[in-house]
Amino acid sequence: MNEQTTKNVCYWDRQAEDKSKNLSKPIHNLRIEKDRPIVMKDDVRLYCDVYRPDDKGKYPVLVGFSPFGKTAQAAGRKRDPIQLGKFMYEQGIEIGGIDYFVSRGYIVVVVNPRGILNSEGICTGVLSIQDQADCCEVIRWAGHYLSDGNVGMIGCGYAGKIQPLVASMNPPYLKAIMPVDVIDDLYLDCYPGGILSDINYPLCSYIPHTNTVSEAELENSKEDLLKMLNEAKKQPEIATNSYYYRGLDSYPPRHYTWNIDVMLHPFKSEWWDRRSFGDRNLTVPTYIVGLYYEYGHSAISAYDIYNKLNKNTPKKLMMIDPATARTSPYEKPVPEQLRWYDYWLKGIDSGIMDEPPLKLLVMGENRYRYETQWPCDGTIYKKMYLRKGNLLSEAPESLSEVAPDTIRHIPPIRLSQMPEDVPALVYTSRTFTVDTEICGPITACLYTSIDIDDAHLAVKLWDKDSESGYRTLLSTGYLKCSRRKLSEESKKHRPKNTHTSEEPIIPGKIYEYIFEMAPVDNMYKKGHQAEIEFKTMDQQYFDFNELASLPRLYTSGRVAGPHPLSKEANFSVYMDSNHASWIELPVTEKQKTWVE
Amino acid sequence: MKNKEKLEIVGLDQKPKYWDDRYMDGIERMTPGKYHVRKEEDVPMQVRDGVTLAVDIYRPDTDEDARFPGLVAFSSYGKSIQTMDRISMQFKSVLFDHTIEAGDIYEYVRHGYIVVVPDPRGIGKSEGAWDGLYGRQEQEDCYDVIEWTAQLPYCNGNIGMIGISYFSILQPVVAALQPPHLKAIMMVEVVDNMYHHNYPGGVFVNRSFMYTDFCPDVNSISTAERTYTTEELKERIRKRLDDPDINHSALYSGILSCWPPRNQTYFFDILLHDDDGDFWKQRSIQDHPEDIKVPMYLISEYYELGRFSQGPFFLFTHGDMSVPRKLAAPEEHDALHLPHRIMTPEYLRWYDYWLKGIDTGIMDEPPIKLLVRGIEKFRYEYEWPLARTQWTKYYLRSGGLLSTEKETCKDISPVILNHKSPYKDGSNETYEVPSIVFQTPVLKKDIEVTGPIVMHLMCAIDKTDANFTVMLNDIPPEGRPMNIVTGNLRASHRGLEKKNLKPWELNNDHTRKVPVVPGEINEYTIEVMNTSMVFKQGHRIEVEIKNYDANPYHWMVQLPNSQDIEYKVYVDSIMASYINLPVIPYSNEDQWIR
Repeated sequence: MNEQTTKNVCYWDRQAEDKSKNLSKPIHNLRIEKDRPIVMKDDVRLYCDVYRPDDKGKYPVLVGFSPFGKTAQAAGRKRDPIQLGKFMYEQGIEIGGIDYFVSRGYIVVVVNPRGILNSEGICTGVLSIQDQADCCEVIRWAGHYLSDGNVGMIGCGYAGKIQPLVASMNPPYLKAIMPVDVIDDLYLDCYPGGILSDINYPLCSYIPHTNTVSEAELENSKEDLLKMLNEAKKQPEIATNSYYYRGLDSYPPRHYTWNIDVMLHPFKSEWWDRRSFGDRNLTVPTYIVGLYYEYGHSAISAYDIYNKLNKNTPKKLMMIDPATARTSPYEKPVPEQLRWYDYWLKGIDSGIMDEPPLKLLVMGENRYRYETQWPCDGTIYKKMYLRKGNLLSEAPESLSEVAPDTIRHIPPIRLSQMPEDVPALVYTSRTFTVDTEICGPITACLYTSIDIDDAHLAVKLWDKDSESGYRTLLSTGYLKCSRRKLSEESKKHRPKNTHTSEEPIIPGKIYEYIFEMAPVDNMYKKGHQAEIEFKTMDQQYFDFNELASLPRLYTSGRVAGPHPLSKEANFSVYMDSNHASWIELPVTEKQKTWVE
Repeated sequence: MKNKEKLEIVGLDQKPKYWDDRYMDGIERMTPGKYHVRKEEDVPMQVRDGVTLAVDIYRPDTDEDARFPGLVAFSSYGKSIQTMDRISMQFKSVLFDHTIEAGDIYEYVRHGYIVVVPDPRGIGKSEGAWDGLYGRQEQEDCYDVIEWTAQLPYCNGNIGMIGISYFSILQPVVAALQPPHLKAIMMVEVVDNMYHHNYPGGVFVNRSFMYTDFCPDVNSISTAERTYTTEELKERIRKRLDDPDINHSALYSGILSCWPPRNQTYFFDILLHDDDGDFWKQRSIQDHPEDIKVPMYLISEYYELGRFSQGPFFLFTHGDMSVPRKLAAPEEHDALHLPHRIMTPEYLRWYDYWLKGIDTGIMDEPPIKLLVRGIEKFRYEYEWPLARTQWTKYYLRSGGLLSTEKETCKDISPVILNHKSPYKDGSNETYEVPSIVFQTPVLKKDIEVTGPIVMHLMCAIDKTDANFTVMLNDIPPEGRPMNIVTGNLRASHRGLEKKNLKPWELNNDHTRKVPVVPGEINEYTIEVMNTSMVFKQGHRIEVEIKNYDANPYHWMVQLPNSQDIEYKVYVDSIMASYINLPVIPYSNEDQWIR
């Protein structure tokens, strides 16, 4: 990366390339100062590695604060980027471009958070209030002892997600942030549609923690804690999942404490707000980089946090890659980060603030275009209806008496099911006759009855090449039926379900279930089809199975996805004229400004 | 009495595949499944140093004044999940859990046994600090649980052990401590040497990462931290982090960089001890099988990689040979269903004999029964390796040929394998790791290979060390090749003296690393493990050699070397490489299970 010039960056236009001659040049040699202590307000010492130009000068500092710690980032320096799914891809490498920045006159500080690797103290889970406060101290220390007065932040994943949380606390010296991946609502990341997700267990096993205690244990009496543990153990999807159950059946509950905390907080609450952006006020210049994760709450958070930022806050947004294009280390955003920080920390005219504020990768087309707002001006929200005969159609059914499609859910503990064989109902559109861009939020609406009092709904949206049959997953959406009620926060095209309480379902009754799916920006090419899949459980949402450096056994039975429903259930999906189930796709037909 | 009626008494609809019509006498005497089950949770039990373990007891719910034998199921996977409500689920299915391994607990109790399942120390609800798997502490705690169970007022004082894998691997090392009330053991998946379980042939595989992951440890300290001084420990960690294969991995270097080293503590121990030595010997039966004085029934699955295919055969052929023993290899690992139920009738037949004194007829059978893969039939045997084996050298030949005929020409170029570091230019596709392959011509008749397999490789490398992965594959005329069994060797673990070897013997020393002289041709003996397989007419036999194998259907992977390596494999008349296959020319008709 260090050798790489700033030529042919795929998301730069000609003007950006012209101005790149103004950018900092790679002229410095690198020196590492390992294990420098930073003293927190309560005297706990964190250790960091300082990567810096090999002289005594003061430079702008970039802070990387990742729960995977500094060793993983050091390992990342020894490899060329490895794509997700390829052998030795590693999730923990979150901070890319260390050598690139140092050679260009920046100091990079990579921290071991509390209770991680050789840092003192207790780890209380990702994005904790404790970590946010510590990160402010790190920024203050770096600003005071190392910097020329200017500090920024780098990193993706959790090292991205913590940036807006910390910046909203206004630590001194912090002049700008550029998170790759952000999180607006961590609850929905961990409980998509209100269903407990499986991402936090492998996360816990991969974080190099040496000392962890859950917030639940810190904040509650033993009596209350035991009550909470017993309550969670009764939750049917946990009671049937050995991986999760045994952690709750331990005392003190110290095995994978972050996952314990996740399980003990099944409803949206103040506890989740502590680790979410929510309604924080952020005034530091912010450039958000997002990826099109088809799962979880990260993709939508990029747009939502961008939109929530104050008009006076300098802000930019780039949607840079599909999730599958992520690499370890993730170096694709690095040239843009240089452009951003050269401008905000060094005062170099890099031209970055002259461009339109949004740059969006159009998947399918595989090019970037400029935009001024999201959702885009002139978006046409087009409903596509589920129709008998596995069709997805622009026209709803005209007959009122059409039998529903049915699907039966047998819980995995009652019948061995391979992840790829989980049953699904499939609805496919006609082929697109012209290239059609779908850009924006996606809503699903299902008229469904179930024969028990609660169940899980899963919907997946695909781009299917009608000739080859090859499918690309674009988006998923989930809903726990008892969370169906729409909350007051719902806006047009942006439904929000109620996750503070549950309303039991009357068996056999048809309900309207409306829920949001992950947003996309995809060009359905001529000859392609939109395809909807309805499933009662979904165990292949994300390629955690391809974390190929981990034993696959570790993910072979442990699913990756929302926990499957533990009871048997029969689903009827309706599509008659009175109960026309649909998915809403945001079509943008406006003139496009491509990045060229 | 007809066999069908006998099965009804045991409560079976169907005869298990591994029971023979000719050896059904005694089945009718087994205890029928007549008891209801009573479960007592979290019963406190003190081990010798006063630490209290939480124990679950399952026992017949009866007013009879009867005493029952006890079965101990010991592992750190946590007791609470062992009887979770679920069907027996297949390996790799959604929610399958490899740690629900204690077995058919309720079924044993129905047939008149007490089953005791503890949380080991530092696990779940038990006090103390966890020390990882199979260490001296775990062995002694298990000993104490056995003796404690024997003195329960409703126990007849005869104890056995149950459970597969972890639960089985622990059995020989505990039996070797000779707890007085332990009367017999029975294992499914047992390991003779824990070093090779984690470092087959010296090559690190990532299997054991999941152990700390799966064990609900709430307080743990590694054996290394307990054993070494701080200076020693830091020095060992520093040296291990110098290994480029390790320090290229964020995960492994992270675990080794924690201080104190309390992340994934058992896996930390495994990472730290990369040569064979005291750490591994303490956890392995291989050095002292003669200490086992109780009857043992050894069962293996056919694993394509790792030690489970070796352990039962080692214990069958070593130790105090006056101790009664049986061996069975009933299925492939991909067929595994958990909770494990397919061997339950055999367990009951074994323990009814040894713990209740009922003559169930189990000792009348020949001592070995094997599933012969490829034809999927069970057969009795008496010895291992089989006396009628025709040891057949299949030579690696130029042009990718595998042949029983040796090359006659001495001027044949070696075959080149170029290993590409996964850390350069974006890694390898998991299906496309560079390899060299050698195939027989299409087989004109079935060939049965049953026994231990060793590869002799004449090879030069251009670095001072390299990993070998040798895969024996079955190539059908159509469809996907199937890996039968895999072996590994780290080049620096080769033996230095020339030795006369029996066909199943190796010349390696895993206690130290001796760098290879780049370019020097060495003979490497690589253990490709035990198997029993019929390569069918119309198929080909294939030997594949590579640095590591990352095919997605494998659930564990060798850690690749982090630098590019060129291997020259010699295939000429003087330096001939070959795999020595135990070919079985015939079997008698009455050996096949009816």
